[in-house]
Order: sequence, then structure tokens, then C-alpha cells
Amino acid sequence: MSGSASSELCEVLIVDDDKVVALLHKNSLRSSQIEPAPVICDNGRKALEYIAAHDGTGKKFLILLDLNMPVLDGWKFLKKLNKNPPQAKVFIIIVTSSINQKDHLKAQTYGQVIHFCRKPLSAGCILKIKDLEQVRLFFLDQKEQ
Amino acid sequence: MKKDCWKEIFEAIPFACLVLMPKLPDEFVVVDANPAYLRLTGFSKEDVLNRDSREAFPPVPAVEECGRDQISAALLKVLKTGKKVEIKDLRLDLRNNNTGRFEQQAFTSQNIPIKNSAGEVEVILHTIRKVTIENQYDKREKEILEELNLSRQQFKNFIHENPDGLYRLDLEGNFIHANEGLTKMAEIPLDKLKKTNFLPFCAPYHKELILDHFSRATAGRITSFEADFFSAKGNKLNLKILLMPMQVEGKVVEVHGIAKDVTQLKQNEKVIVEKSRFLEVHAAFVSSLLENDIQHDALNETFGIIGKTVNADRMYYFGADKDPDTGEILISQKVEWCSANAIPQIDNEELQNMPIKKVEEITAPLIKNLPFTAIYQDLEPGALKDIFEEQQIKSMLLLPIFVGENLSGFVGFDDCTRQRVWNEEEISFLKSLTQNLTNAFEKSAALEKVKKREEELKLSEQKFRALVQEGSDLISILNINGYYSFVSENYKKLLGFNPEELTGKNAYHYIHPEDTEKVRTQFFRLTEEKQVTISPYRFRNKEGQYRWVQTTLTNLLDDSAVQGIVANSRDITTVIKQAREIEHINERYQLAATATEDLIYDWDLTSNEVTRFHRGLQELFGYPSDVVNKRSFWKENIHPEDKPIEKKKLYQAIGDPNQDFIKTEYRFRKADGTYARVVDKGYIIRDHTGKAVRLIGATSDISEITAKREAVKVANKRFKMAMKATSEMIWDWDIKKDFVTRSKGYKKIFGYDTNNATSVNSFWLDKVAKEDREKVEHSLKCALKDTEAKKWKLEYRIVKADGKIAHVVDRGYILRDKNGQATRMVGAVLDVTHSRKILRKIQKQNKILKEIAWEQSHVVRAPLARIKGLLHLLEEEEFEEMSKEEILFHMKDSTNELDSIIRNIVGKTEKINVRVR
Repeated sequence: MSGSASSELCEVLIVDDDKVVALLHKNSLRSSQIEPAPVICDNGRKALEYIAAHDGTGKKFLILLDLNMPVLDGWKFLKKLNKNPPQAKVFIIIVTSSINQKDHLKAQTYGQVIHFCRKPLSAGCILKIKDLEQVRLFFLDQKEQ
Repeated sequence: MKKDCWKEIFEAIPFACLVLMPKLPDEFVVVDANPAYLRLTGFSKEDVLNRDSREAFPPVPAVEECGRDQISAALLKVLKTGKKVEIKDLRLDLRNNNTGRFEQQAFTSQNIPIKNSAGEVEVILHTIRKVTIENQYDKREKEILEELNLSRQQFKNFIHENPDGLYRLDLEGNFIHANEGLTKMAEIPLDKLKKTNFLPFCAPYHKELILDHFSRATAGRITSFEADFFSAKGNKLNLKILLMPMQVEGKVVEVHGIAKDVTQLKQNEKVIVEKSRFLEVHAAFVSSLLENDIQHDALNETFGIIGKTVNADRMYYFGADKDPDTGEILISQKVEWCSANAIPQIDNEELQNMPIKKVEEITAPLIKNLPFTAIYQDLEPGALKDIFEEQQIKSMLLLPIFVGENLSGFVGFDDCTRQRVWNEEEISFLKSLTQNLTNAFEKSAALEKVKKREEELKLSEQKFRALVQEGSDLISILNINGYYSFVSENYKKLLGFNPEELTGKNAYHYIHPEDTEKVRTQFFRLTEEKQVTISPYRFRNKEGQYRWVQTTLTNLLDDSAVQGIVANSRDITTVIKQAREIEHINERYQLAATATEDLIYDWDLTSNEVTRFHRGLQELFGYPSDVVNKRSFWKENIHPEDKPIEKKKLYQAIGDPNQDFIKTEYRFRKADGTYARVVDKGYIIRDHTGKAVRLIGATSDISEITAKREAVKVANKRFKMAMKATSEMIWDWDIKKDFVTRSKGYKKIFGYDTNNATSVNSFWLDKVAKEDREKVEHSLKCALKDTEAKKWKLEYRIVKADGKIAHVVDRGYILRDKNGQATRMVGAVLDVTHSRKILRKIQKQNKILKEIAWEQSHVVRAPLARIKGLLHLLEEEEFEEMSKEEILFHMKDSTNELDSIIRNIVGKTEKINVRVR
């Protein structure tokens, strides 16, 4: 079913400088039948560049965003995204190792942020992501499998 | 035969001949003329020989087309063609030898070319012969024959084939003859019609009229009239008759007549009249609808006009509405017009809210927007037949009215005297009328809708305004994340925030940290519930103080007008405080009751239970405690005269949601039968709706009051003493006199001697730091001006006698006279310089600590998260990207990283601690 229309519309990006964690997350997504395989960017700037290169109306990105990163961290990424919003719809899930409540609250001030997760992504957490109202549709047929 | 006998022959020809020789292109010269010619024309030979041909012809003075020209033209033609040319009807004026007058005569002329050996026309023989009389007779006969044919044709057309009836009657009125037109009308063959009298054909009611006209005709007068006749086969005819007497020698011998069938004409006339009436009605109806919208009176009137025009006995309109519960279509008669033949049904209760399905026959066509017609004799037994019988209906026509997609009603026409079959034209005309009605209904429905919408909008706007602006509630609209998109004006009044200050901000920011989680949990219930009430929580006001607030949230995200969550909040600080206070009061009263003579009571107004606190063993008003504890204790012992008044006062106070305190005096019977004068003071506790739930109070003897007054005096004395003794900076400002008394503390703390400086302006304001002076002045002025203000509080800087700056918090209580005019202010100044310093230090330190904590939470957690994930991978054995060895390597790596981080943190923290110290 990887070629189904709705799943094609939503591309998943893992933005994390920690290569091991990114691999772990990629593995978890596959285990939870989230397809196709995510694109991995090791900082915010690369993620922005990827979005800009693949932007277009009707496109959708689901971004698993780490906060603490070199070059362009998660917060700066959000700010830049807000300043120059792409045509594509971008849904962001903060995936951080931080347990600081302030980060959680700050994340809520960004409209694109639809969820907040702690590292490492657990199977339960991915299930929850798949069931989020904003993105539920994209994973519907995958869930049915 | 003689050789040159041609000349003699020429001379001997009995009709006139000329020999003409062509000369110039269009000229002919007479070369010879025979005697017959000379005789005919009266010319002599000399007159014509060698003359131009035109001069040789006799003149034709009366005729425009001259005979000479005719001949000249013929001659030229001969010359041109070389062939003989004949002139048939040549007219020439010739002198009558007998009378000597010129007479026109008809001739024929032959012009014969005589050619030479070369084939050229050398001469032309021109002959003229008179047309014979026989010839003229033939012509005349031909003309007569033609005339006869014409007359025959005319007879055929005018008499025989004339569609009108032409006939002859004898003086008795018997037919002598008639044309086919009449026999067709009478539907009887001519032979039978002959000798028949006209009377049997007359309509009985017109017989007299017809006879009258016939006798006029026999008397010799031409007469004309219209009357009804019946054909032999009994068909009715409306005939227009013209009777003409036929006179021979002054005597009338026959009567000739013409009968014109005007039946169709009359019918057409009737149709035209009807149609023009229809059009008039139509126009009247439309204009009435346009002018008056849909009004029952106007409809009634137009229904009458239409009903009469179409000759119906009843015209009515039924409205159709859907039953709000079942969706069934209910019909009700709304407008009705009746002729004298019909029984009015407008007051028939059965025709109101009648389910349309009850009359099966009409339902199907009407809901399909099709007309319905029925006549009595065709009806099967059923509801419709019952209606027909009940209302004496013979025929019915119903036309549906559709507004939008729905049947909004129908217009009906009943006939009570005949089983009328409506023709298509009538139905289509009436349909066009109802179409107008439909249009008017649609227009009215649309207007109604708009009006209703406007009213609803107005109402909701008013309601909204009333709620938002005039209500005591705080209204705001938030998004699902708690961001304000709208904040009502009374946020300013109740919490000190200007609406624009809060708009765009997150509500959680203002909620007490201890309450945030609770509020958040309750807030998220909105995803499942439409409305959620959030239990009391603390909300920070502009001044930074927390107020207790209770909020009801309504999810109107789907409402296009709101698109948010409406928060309805109420400041319940007072209630909460009261509740807290009550707890304290209870405790206090328990204690107090043991120490005083007062009767303390707590009356639960919901359960009507009264708890009385008093010194257990000692008696109150001389009663033993078991008597005091009885519920009816108060009722039984209050003075009978005071009881109704006190009860009334009590209920009034309880019933008024704004009153929370009651104080009253009455007489109360002591155990010894004498009455004590008591003062009763009670606090009314109310729930959030304002309903009184408890009344807590104390009943005391007047003597107790006196004792308290004494106590107050003592307290005042004590205050004065305290003021003298205290090292705090207390001030007492007599505003009218602008005289300030300050405690000794001033000198001690600020270094100023207070004895000589007594005025606010001359002493105090000078000491306030320049930057704050205006602020202090303005704030004081505002507080004094506001007749409601009881307190004043301000933080500002003051310049001490040694030139150092001190931060102070100044608080004052304003005393006012009856008019609200501030008369006195008593206050205290607190030097907060030190505490401010400490606070700033703490804030700074906090900031540093927070930064550290944030960093740590990220840095420390990173390898930990990695380890957790790797462990999971290892447990689940579901890895593709890494080998087991790699996993173990990363785990080891992460563990080392974690270790070094922790070491680092310990080091950092130690440094920070040193710095803070």
C-alpha cells in the first residue's frame, strides 16, 4: 500500500543531529508501518532546504523535530518557517530529550506544532501521532492494514 | 389579260388603297391612290399624290393615339421586316357625307410590301377596310356571354355558396326558396324546407320578437334583429336576421331574408370578454400582491374577483406546514371566498392542521407540483368523497403553490352546482395566477427570513453586547491552545487589563503555576464535551495579584461567527475568601462562644438546621442548653410584636442576592419572662448563583454592645500609644487642613526631622525622587478623587537625608465624609530597599539557574534517550539499520558521554554556587 494516494501526500522528515537516534526513530516508524521511509536531516537548515526544494501546493510534511541541534536548532527552525511559510502544509512534532516543562509550553505557542514527544520515540507515542487529528487521514489506510 | 391591267385592277379595288414609296428613313410619299380611297377620305387625287404619307391620312382629332402614327409605325415595320403588317383596330375620324360631321369609324388596314428584283421594298400597298357590323355583333355577344358568366359566378358566390342563409318567404312565413347556406343552418334539405313555416325553428323565448319583426317586413319595412333558433336536429343557433319586403307595384308580395349565424361570433365575443376580464383580474391581482404583500384582506378581495370571473362557487387557499415533530405535511385553510351556492368552511376546525395524507387523492399530484381536478361522480368512496358530500361540492380544482422545493400550500376552486370539467386553458390561466401568488409567497417568505435573520442578529448582537459589556462576567474567546482572540471590556474593570493587552496572549501565562495543570486537563475535555466548567483557579491580575476565578468554557470552534472557545469567567475571590473566612469564623466563633455571652448560631438555610454555639454548661438568657439547642428556640422567644417584622426583614435580606449582612434589633424573652433588647448580626453565605445557603450570626444583649464600644475606645487609645512607640513610619494626614502627623520612625529611617515639616507638598514631595514625583502626585490625586477608593498604595523612591535612595511601599487608608469627600488619610511607609535588592538578586540567580537547568535537561537527556532507544531495539530484536555489535558500541559510547556530562555538570554547579554566594 506504499503507493496509496494519501500516504504519498505526506512526507516524513526526521530532523535530528544525533545519527543514532535518527536511525532508531527511522526503525520505529517502519515498525509502526509509517511509510515511505522518512528523510533524515541532521539540522534545521537542511530541513528547511529540503522543504524549499520539495515545496508545492497540496504537499504535506510531517516533521519530527529535535530542539537542541547545531547550525540551526529547533526553535530557530520554527521561527524561520513562520517567517517564510512554504506553500506545503507542515505539521511538526517536537521530539526532544528535554524534560523541561518550559520547552513543552513554548512549543505550544507555534501553530504548526501538533504534538510534543520525549526521546526516544516509543511505539505508543507513534501510535498517538498516527491518531492525531491533523494527520490521522494520511495514515488511515496504513493503519487498516 | 391585258398586259398593264394592274393599274385598272388597282383603280377597281372596292376598298381604299394607297401606294406608298419609302423616301427618307421615316418618310413615305404617296405615289398612287385608288378612287375608293379618295371616296372614303374625301381627298382629291391632287391632295394626296406626291405628298408625305402622313398628310394623306385622314386626321383623328379626338383620339390621342393618332391613327396616322399607327400607320406610320406599321409602314416602318414593313420596311424593316419586309413582311406584311396588319392593323386590326384602326380608328379614323371621317366626314359623314350626309351630315357633314366627322365620325369615328373602325377599320382594318393591310400594309403589303412590294419588292423589286433585288428583294428590296420598292413600294408598300396600304389598304383600309371598314370593320363590318356583323363583326361588332359577335363582339357584343361575346361580351354578354361574359357578363352572364360573371352574373352566374356572382350568383354562385353570393347566393348559392354564400355561407349566410338567403331565403324567400311568402306572406304567411312559409319558405318559397332558400340557398344552401340556410339549409345547412336549418339542417334540413331544401325540398323539405320549402312550404315549411319558419315558426317551428324559433326558440320559444324569442318567438314573439321574431313574429314582430316579420310583421314589420310584411308591412313593407326593412328590419334587422338577433334571435335564437333551433335547427331541425335541435341545435341552438344564434342568428342575425335581415328581412326585406319584396314589392311589386307598391304591394308587398314576398319577404326576402338573410340569416347570419353569429353563434360562434357570440361565443368568441364571450371568450374575448372573459379573457379580458381574466387579464383585468390578473393585473388587479398582481398589483394587489405587489402593493400589499400577502394580506388576508387583499387576498380575500382578489379571491372574490377571480372566483366570480371563473364562475366558481368557492375559491380558497390552504397553507401547508411541516409538523416539527413528525415532518408530516399539515394543511390549514387560510383564505376563502364563497358564492351564494357554497357553504363557507373558513371556520371549519377540521380544515386546520389536517394531515394532507388524510386525503390520499390530492397528496400525490400536489406534492409533485401538479394540478388536481375531480368531479363528484368519478370519486371512489373515501375521505375526498366525504368532503365533497359534506361541503356539497360537485367539482374541484386544486393548484399547488411551491416555495423553493417545498409545497407551501394550494389554491382551490369548488363548484357546487355543476360537475364542471375545467379545460386546459382555464387551468393554465389559473396556474399563472397561482404562480403570481407563489411568487408573492416566495417574496414574502424571503423577506420574512431576512427580517427574522436581522432580528436574530440584532438580538444576538444585543445579547452579546449585554453579556460582554454590561454583565459582570469576564468574557473572552480563545483558541484551542489558550490564546486570546477576544477579551471583553470588563477585564479592565475586574482584572485591570486592557483588552488589547491580553489579545494574542496565552491564558496559561496568567494562571497560578499550581493551578495550570488542573486547568489544562479540564480545558482539554472540550475536545469531547461542548461545555466544561473549570473549577476555581487563580488568575493573575494586572497588579500581579492572584484572583480566584471560575470559568465556564463553551466550544464554539465550529461556529462560523465565533470560531473559538468562549470563556465565561467570574471573579469569585470574595466568595472564596468568604468561604475561607467562614471556616476561620467558625473556628473563631467556637472559641468566642465559649468566652462570650453571645449566642452564636449557624443556620443552614437549605436543610433548615440550626446549630447554636454557646458555653455548654452556662445558661443563655437564663435557659438551659437543651432548650437553647431546640430548633424553635428563636421563634418561640422573640417578642410577638417583633416577630413578623423581623421575619420579613430576614426574608428580604436572604432574598436579595446583593446583601450578605443583616443587622437588626429586637426584643427577646429571657427565661425569667422579661424581655432583653438584643442586637442580631448575621452574615449571609451564598452559592455562586447568589442563593443564600447559610446564615451565621450572633445575638447579643445591648449591654454587650456598650461593652464593645468601650473596647473600641480602648483600642483607639492603644493605637495612639502604639504610634508613639512604634519605629514604623506611620502618618496621619488631615487632608482639609493639609496637616500631616508622622511617627518617630521617619527620623530614624530617613533622617528627616518630622516636627517642623507638616505639609504634604512642602515636606514630603520634596523628598520623593525626582523621577517618581509626578507619579506619586498623580496617584494620590486619583485616589482622593475617586469617591469609592478606600485604599491607596504605591511603590516609589525617596531621597534620604544622607542622599541615598530608598525604595518604599506607601499604603494609606482614606477616610471620607458622607459625600465621599476624602477628609483624612492614615498610612504607613515601608522601606523595601533591602528586600528589593534581595529580590533582584534572587531573580538574577533564578535566571542563571534556569538557564543551567535548561541546558542540562537537553544535554543530559540526549545520551540517556539514545541508550533507552538502543536498549529497546536490543530487546525487540527488530533492527535492520544496525548490527548487534554496533548497537552495543553506541550504547557504550552513550554511557561514556553521559558519564562525562555528569562530571561536567557537577563541576559547573559548584562554580555557580560559588558565584551566587
